[in-house]
Amino acid sequence: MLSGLLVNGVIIPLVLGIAVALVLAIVAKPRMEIGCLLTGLAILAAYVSLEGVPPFPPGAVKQKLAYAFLASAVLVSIAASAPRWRRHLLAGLVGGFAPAFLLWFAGPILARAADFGAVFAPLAYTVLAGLAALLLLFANGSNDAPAAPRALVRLSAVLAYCIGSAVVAAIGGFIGMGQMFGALAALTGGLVLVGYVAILRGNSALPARLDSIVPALLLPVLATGILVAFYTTSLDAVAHTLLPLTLIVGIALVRSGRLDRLPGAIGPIAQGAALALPVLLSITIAVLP
Amino acid sequence: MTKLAKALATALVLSAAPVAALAADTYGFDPQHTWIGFSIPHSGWAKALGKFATANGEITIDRDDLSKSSVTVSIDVASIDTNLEQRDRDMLGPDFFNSVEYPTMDFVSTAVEVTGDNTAKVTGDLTLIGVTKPVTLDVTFNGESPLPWDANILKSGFSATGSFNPGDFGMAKVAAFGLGPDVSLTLEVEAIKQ
Repeated sequence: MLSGLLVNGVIIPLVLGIAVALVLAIVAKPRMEIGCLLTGLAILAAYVSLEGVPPFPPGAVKQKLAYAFLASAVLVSIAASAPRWRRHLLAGLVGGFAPAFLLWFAGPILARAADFGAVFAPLAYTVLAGLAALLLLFANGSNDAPAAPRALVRLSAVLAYCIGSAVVAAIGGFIGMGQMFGALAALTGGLVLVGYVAILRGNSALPARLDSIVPALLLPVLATGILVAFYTTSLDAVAHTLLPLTLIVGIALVRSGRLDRLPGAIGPIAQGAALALPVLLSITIAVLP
Repeated sequence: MTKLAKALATALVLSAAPVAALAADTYGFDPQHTWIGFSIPHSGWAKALGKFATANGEITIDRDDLSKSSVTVSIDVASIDTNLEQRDRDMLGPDFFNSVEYPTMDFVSTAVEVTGDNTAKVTGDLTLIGVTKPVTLDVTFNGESPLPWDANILKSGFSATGSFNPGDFGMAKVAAFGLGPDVSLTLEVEAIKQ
């Protein structure tokens, strides 16, 4: 039983993440949309390994998630393929998909809610996570190719966010999405791992390439988080709503660049430690009785 | 004449009100005297037990041709009780019963095969988390008699057992967590003639 969970929930997505990163490393001038499409499809493959192939049309909300992943992979790739309009298109996708996911996943819950208080926490999470994702999209400013180690900050922020979300979801009783976030973390971890090795080898181009596919991760992470917010039976709402702080810390790290002054191998570790703080806070709150 | 038909004929004689020559009698579940239990193997250690506290249904018995009888059952999945509140909450999440989107588990009979004097196999469509599959219940008619304090109210009793694989309905996490493969159902129903 555990070996199956480990293989499907960690090893397969980790290998997929490493594979995507290696493709970006090997191809001479990889286009951003290719990296985004490969990442999106890797996420979809991770979903299928955990939940199986969903029916069409989807019935249950977990099945809808697969189609949200598919739509993300396609639309983010299309947006990434238009260099002139890329930023606006990606911002539009993140800003537009958050309410779209909300209505598609949680429409029945919102319609049946007795009062606003009953859905305040998951709505607050959706707004905070959506805003944090939007800000993270623009964290690099006009610099499309940030220098290492800052180039790995956004990916590391997503990694930390997924780890925290996995733990909070699992503690809340939604094992399936705990596994899905674990898979997203493993996949992102594969990307970060290859990027970190590149930094150690003095390769500054690969981390920037890896950073460019962050948009392909944001929408699936947002979708999964909204699903957790509304459907986890024993979710610690405070712990879950604090998780977007991880992305905010990531934005601050990218903007300040202070950790760039640390030696090559230490900078990313220090960034990871900073990103771990809000995650540890959320997990601690979730674990406390 | 089978015992079941004899019992029904007796019930008709005992009932005080004049009875038209109806082909079928309808019985509604007595919700306070309906018990639905289940068990499922747990990782080879023991069988996990539980029950659903709330269910309703209807039985239609065609005295002339029992194979034309029918039964419908609707179980409120949120009434699940596995003796641990946390587990009950987790079972209602999207990984298992998904009670937000599918609040009931329903059985609608499609065929009745009389197998003995008071037994039958009832095949029907079980709908669980939006997926419908055929399931067969082994049903025993236990008897029918009026209530001691009101001879006008006739009550019939039925026992039924059956099993199904939750994985067939898309509940994949059951097997992933060492449960199954099959869930055994036990229904004890007292139904009041309408």
